Amino acid sequence: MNAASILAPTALLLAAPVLPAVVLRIKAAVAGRRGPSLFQLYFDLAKLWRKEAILSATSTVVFVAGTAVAALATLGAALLVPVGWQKAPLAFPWDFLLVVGLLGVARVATLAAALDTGSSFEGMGASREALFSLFTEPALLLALGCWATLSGKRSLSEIVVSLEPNLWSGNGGALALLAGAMFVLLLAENSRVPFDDPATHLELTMIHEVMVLDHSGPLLASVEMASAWKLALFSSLLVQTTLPFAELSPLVRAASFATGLLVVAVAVGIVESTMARLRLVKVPQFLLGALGMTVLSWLLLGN
Amino acid sequence: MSLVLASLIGLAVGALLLVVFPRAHFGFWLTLASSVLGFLGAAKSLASGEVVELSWAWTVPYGSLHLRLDPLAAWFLSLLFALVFATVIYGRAYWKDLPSGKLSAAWGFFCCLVLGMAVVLLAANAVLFLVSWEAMSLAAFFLVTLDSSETGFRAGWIYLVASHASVAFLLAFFLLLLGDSNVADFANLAAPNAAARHAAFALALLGFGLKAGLVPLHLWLPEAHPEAPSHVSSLMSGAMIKMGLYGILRTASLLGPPPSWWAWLILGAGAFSAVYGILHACGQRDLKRSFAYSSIENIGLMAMGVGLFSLGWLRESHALCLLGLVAALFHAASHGVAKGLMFMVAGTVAHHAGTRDLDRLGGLARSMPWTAGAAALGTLAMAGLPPMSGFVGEFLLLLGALEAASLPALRVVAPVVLAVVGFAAALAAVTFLRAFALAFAGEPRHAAPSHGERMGGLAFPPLLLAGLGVALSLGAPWLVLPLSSVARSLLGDGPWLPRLAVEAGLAASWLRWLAASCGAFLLLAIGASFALRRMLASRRTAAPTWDCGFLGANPRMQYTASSFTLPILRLFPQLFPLKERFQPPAGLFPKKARYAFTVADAVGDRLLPRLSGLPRVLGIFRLGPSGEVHLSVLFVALGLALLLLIGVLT
Repeated sequence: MNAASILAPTALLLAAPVLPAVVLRIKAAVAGRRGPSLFQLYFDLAKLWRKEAILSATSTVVFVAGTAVAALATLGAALLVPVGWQKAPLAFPWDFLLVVGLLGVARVATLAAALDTGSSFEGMGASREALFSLFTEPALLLALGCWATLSGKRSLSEIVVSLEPNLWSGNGGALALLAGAMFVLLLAENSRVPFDDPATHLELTMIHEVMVLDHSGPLLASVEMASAWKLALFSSLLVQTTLPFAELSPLVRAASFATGLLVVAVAVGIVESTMARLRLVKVPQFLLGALGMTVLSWLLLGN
Repeated sequence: MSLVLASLIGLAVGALLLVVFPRAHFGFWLTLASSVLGFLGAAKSLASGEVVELSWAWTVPYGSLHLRLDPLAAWFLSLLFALVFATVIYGRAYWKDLPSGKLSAAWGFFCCLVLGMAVVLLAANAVLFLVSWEAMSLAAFFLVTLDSSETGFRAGWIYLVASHASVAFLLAFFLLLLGDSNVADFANLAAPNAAARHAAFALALLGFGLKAGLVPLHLWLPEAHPEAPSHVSSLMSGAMIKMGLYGILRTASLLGPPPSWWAWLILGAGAFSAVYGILHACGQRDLKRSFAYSSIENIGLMAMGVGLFSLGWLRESHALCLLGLVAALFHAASHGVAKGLMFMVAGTVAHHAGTRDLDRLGGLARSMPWTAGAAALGTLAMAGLPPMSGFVGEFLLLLGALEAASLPALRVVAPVVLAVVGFAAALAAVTFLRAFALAFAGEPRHAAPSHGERMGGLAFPPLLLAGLGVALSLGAPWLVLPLSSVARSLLGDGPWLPRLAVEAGLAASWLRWLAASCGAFLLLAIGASFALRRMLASRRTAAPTWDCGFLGANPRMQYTASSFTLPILRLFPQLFPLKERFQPPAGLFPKKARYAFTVADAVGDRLLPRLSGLPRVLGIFRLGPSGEVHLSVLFVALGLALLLLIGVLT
């Protein structure tokens, strides 16, 4: 393990709050506004971290513990993902199954904290989030398993490092499907339009935001931090599995990785500016489509 | 073996003592000590990997008291005795208020159930196996009908019919394999020809599948589990349905490599059961009924493991063989522990709040923190999430699927297994989170009588099982080697077997990474929760839950279990027929509106009624009015005489 393998993930975790800000800037630009600073989320986090927390009198230890566990599990999953086409700090055979498991823990902990407040709005958000997870979890599992089978490697780091430069020449169709499915998953898992609207202020239409209505102060800060990490995790997975850049020089890799993340954030921003949120009943069909894409790409992979 | 025998004798004596002096201490302690002895004996045998046989003559035709302790039996025995230890402690507190006469009967049947299961696992003779199988099934029947309620009797009868159908298939199975030998020891059983071999595999799948609860043979499970006393449900779901799994594996060890249709069928039935079971679990309002359906899901996952194992056996792939079998066996133990825990929690909740209806529960974490803590760990385990043992079991199953992807003929298996396991795990997470959060979190949805938590009897056993679930997950790397000896004992000997040990070492090395991460995550999660709590201690304000400006919110407006899962249930109308009754608000000044839905079992409520003509057709075999005992006895006697006559004439 060299210095870079510690530095790169640390840098990504620290820089993660920039990504949601990029999305906001793009949305603002499309709407003809200037938008907040790229570092706004850092200021918000620092402010929230110092504030006091208002806890619902109904909530129990589940509320605080659920919030802490959700953030910790997201962080753990992020540590398993390689950064800039080099080995992650934690890498071992079949670690991508643990990534799926830890994201599942984070989701269950968030849902438990939401239901612990006894609020019917948060119950509604939790119910919808639970519904979506039925499709995103198997789809993520299939997508990662597909990469593993394609590369013949067992750990996420090895998979990313071993992708051949001419990856796309033989399996273009399958890879395009897979990348498309991963992008849909990124949108769905990070509560983005067209699945959820992080900007809305009507409780009935929100999903992720309505689940954290009762979080305040440091608790809200850890929720915001975790969701920034999760966006970084999915974007970095998408970038590194789509572009086989492992054999380039470290500097070029770092630059193209950062550019890749920005491009993903811009794409998310453009989707958010040009699409409306789907009707709730349509969402499962859309996610089922993504799941179907992963199965199809699995079957298309020639070997 | 001597420890296991001592424990069986101890259990039998303990049963007698408990029947005669149901409230005295010594019977209870003797039973507890016996379960510890049995656990130690089984664990020791599993660690050494050796096979011990004991045999005595028995006067019953074809019978012999032939006991055989091999790694396969030892693994299931360890699970059984661990569960017995917890359930006996729980049962003592749970049955505290039962009248003495009933208590004697209850403990008698309980010990009979345990002894029956232990002997089923040890038996190496078909007659002994069937007798103990019957003892186990009947004891469970009497425990299900213990409360003598009307629903209890109905459930008991459904269960009894299923059990007897199962025994009928098994009887045919053994008769088919008996041949000319006059002692039906397992070693003497063999299929006379290829057709008989196929038939034997089919009969075994039907007979053992009924016990295990594979869809569509599952109908007794959601009826019987909720009606039994909670710790008996723990034992039934944790151990008894695993006897079906044990039987399926034992069949493979008796008859050798299964035919390929059998491997595919068991994989397919497992996948279908997993999805079907968890969908129905998600729709139930009754806690225990929901858990019973979830057992069908987990049996399905185990069957998928057996399917992968059989496919690996047929294609001589060590890795697939080993991973499939280890996944099935590990998941059996993991599910046994976690489901045992959850059924006890359901019993405590019902005892505490007076209802098992999730739509009426809520806010129990404050009055029963220990049970809530155990339930939280059990929820993670049942949801197949790290750091609990359920995750390790599903991890192994997924490895098996990914291994299958490298075999050209099985490439299509991998995405299907991955999708099914992923979907079932996600839905299991939703189902058990719903059960946990709606029972323990939030505000009570109806006024409940409060008893206060009794730490000793009702809270300790679930905590013990939660600890066991953590231990299973962290100790998984050390269990792979003993489990690979099960694989060796099942596979007999083949030229490709030496590689099995290499694969086991590889799997153990993967699990070491996984266990280390799970352990670290568990410690960090506890640490982070405490740190955040401490940080907030000095700067927190309590306020009502944010009501979005609506000031009249009350606990009955909380999301209920039904509202939480209804969007999911609506997605699968074919698998999951919803019966909805909706009276919408009408008029300018609407007064009354109601909405209610009940969930139906696609097999039980749609498929079975189509067979309603069957009793009439079968009625032609009935020679007289039913229910007349003397006529039945006469027919039995005539039948016997006829058989004797045939015997004499040929």
